Amino acid sequence: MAGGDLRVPDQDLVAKAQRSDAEAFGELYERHRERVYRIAYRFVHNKADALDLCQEVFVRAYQSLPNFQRKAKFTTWLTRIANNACVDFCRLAKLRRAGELDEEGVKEDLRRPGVRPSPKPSEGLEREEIREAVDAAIEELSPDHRAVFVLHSVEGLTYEEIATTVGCPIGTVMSRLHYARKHLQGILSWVKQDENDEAVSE
Amino acid sequence: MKPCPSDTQLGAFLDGELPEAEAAAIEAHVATCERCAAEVAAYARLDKLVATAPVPEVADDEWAAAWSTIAARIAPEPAQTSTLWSRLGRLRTALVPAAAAALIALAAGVWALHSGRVLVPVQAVVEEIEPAEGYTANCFYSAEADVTIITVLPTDGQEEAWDDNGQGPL
Amino acid sequence: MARALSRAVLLLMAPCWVYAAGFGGDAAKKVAALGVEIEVVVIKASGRGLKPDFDGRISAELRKKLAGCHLAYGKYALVDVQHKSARYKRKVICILPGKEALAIICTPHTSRTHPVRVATQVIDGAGKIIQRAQVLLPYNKAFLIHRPKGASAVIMGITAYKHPSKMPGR
Repeated sequence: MAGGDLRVPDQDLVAKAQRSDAEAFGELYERHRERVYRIAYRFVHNKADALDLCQEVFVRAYQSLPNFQRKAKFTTWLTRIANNACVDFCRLAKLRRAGELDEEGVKEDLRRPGVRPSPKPSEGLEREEIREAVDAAIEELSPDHRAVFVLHSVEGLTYEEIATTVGCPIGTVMSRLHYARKHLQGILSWVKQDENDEAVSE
Repeated sequence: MKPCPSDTQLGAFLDGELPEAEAAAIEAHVATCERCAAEVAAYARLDKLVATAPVPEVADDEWAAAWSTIAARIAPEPAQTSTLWSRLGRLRTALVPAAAAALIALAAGVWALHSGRVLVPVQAVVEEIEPAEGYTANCFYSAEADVTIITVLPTDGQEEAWDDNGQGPL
Repeated sequence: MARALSRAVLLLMAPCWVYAAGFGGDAAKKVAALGVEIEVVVIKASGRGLKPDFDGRISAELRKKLAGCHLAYGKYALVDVQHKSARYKRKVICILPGKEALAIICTPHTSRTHPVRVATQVIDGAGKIIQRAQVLLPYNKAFLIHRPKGASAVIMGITAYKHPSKMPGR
């Protein structure tokens, strides 16, 4: 998002949406849907689920509009709703899978170290392979760890911001982040990335 | 040689979350300690990897489809055609006495239980309704909407003004 | 030998502890087990009409339930949404417009399909209890209390959630 926005500020759109202006809310959707989708995708690693979650987030946002105090930042508020929706989804998914132990067992195998795609020695990894590797690695984290890690690395939030979004003390943020990093480091250490890679954006 | 800081501290250093003095101290340490330098570099690589990992592209029509679902969920719905219940108009007092209604609800609830794996919606079971003197209460289960609604109103249908000075919704 | 073995066992277990501790939320889960999360949605219904006009902020679920009752109101406006954490057997009071109130007491019920008993009291502006009702419910499922007042009405959608994460809009 370029600095120096000449468009109507978010706060004004929110004010209109709070007065049931559907168009204003639609505009907010267009502005923020990619970001919400990106958070959701890094969480659930499934495009269809991520789109569903994105949809759920905006519906919840619309329903919670009366509770939004316009002094706060809209993006922060929306991120919190997105985080909660993602964590809820993961917990539900876990509960669902808990009743299907065999399927869970099979799924786990696919993510065990032995089954990773082998890196091509001379070239860097294809983008798809990187995505799969990152997806599989994050999948191994619990919803709480995933939340902290995704908010940190995808959204670039500070510890303080993560703590308020997730609703836990900063110490917990730090220890969860530390755990996530240690865990992912081990799994992803074999992924060789070109050091000069620029940020990839769609 | 100074002991190495904890990995959590190294992480906080990388993330720019440490106060100046501490950050300077760790920076000095990392300059001389291979192990810690490697650790910090590893965290940086990991962050960059995850931040730049691609997400699947979403086509315009997929965004539009998502929006139409959102719009459907937040937009008002048209009502259905009226039934006997609404044709009663002002006479919303009980047609079905409370006790009988409770029994019916109970029976329906039991039936749902006996259906084995409950595929039918589980209804609320109204155990008791007790209006005060001068009031009438009844309950009604709408199968269409899968909801139990308990109504209470003054028996003689006396007008009770809505006492909110037109305050209404938030 | 034994000491070395037990130490080895401890070392092996260590990652499990870190992992378990990392899940956090265990304390929160214990608190949740002692009670319920109650949501009361307060709606003002007014006017007459076959195709009611719903406030866009009322959830689609609740809109469907209201529409399915065919109460013949023309307009449903959202007045308030109250969330209360309640321990079992403790009374929770929701203040309604016009100094009225709704008192709720939840107790667990030993039934697979109806695990919670919700006792309600509708209290008018003068502090008089005008109705008691007791309902057995599944979690996450709303029932309605409808209080006509003259030409309009207050409708309350009451839902018991077992865990805050299941509650909408949080």
